[in-house]
Amino acid sequence: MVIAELRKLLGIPTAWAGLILGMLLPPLTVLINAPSTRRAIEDGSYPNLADLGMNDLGIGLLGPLVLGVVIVSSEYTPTGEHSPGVTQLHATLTAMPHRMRLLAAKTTVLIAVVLLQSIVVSAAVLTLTRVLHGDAMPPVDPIRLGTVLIYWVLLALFSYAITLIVRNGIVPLTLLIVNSFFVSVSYLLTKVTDLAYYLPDIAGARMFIRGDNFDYAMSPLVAGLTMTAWVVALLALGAWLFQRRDA
Amino acid sequence: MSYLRAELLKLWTLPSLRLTALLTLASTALLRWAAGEPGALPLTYTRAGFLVLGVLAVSAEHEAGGQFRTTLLAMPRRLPLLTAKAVTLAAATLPIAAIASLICGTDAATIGYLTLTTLLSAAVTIVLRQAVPAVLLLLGVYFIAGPLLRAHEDLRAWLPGDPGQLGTALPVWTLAAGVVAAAFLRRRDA
Repeated sequence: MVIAELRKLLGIPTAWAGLILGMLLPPLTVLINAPSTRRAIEDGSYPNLADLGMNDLGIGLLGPLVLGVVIVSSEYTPTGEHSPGVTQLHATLTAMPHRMRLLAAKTTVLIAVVLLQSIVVSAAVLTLTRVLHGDAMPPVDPIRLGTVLIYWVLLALFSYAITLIVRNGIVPLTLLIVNSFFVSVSYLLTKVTDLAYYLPDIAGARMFIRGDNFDYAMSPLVAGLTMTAWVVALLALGAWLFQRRDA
Repeated sequence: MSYLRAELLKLWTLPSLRLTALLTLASTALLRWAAGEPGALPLTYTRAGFLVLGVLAVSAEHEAGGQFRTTLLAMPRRLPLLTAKAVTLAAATLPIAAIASLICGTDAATIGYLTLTTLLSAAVTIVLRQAVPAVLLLLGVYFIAGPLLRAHEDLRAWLPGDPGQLGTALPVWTLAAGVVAAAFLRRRDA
């Protein structure tokens, strides 16, 4: 079951786009930004040296985001030109009728692939930063690196859960990309209410980003628990809907 | 004229387009309220809606059932078909862009920016045909590559830019994508 889901995931071209973009973008960002980062370190304007290397990992989150979306949205693509209304999910459920076991297999595959991806990327980015900026980078704290990996997995599960709920790839992709790779909407909302600090993307990043321009204090543990609570709640809703709704 | 009427009817009757337009305008209004002052800032986010609008307008024809083949059966000449699609999509987007611009209190350049964004997305989707990859590519260019490359002075002129200022890059990109789409539409099997 798990093997079947893994083969299905790796058969999707868009999943490969997510895998490759997620792996290539962060090291590329480190390289492109190297001159300006070096200048910022020299004149002391770099916001917080503890985040050197960690900041550049953010862009790779496109990878888990896309993987979380396509592992579900691909099931809702029609199987053939001449059978509108029949989706891949019908074939999947014929082979694996137990829905919760199917979801468990999907979740396992997603976590495994994203974990592997995040290990490769963070190793590449941190090594590259060490080579380029040398001593300016603080020694890597294994616990903090662990929270990076957890964040990647949680974000993948987050987009996976949303896709399970809306059964469509475009909505989560648009929402999450627009919100994660910019001065985010959530960040704008923090100006309106302090509650916005508990939105998943704002809280989640604070698991491993130290120097921040937020007025609201939050420990990495609280941040992690907040993000996990969001993911668990949405995943539970998604699973419940998946169990109840017709394919 | 019948080309235009047929294409407009197809656009008008797609529920996903109406929903996208509605959500885009609603979130623009919400962000405008959160931002607290007039300006193009909310549109830097909600231009994503205009992007999705262009994608869905085209990808709907390539879903299962192959509506596109029926379209070609009725209107076999491909370049007039493309022109009709572009004109009707622009005409349908303009009022939505105008309302969005009105909500944010910006000038006419913003309307042009948003309409061109929709047309560019439609042209890209004619080539890619599938909605999810097209959305991924376009969002990637607008929201990831754009902010990432903006720090580099020499590249800035090549980027689509912000809804606040409509440069020459976006019209040129849209035109180029339109030409590529025309080439694909003419040469490729439906």
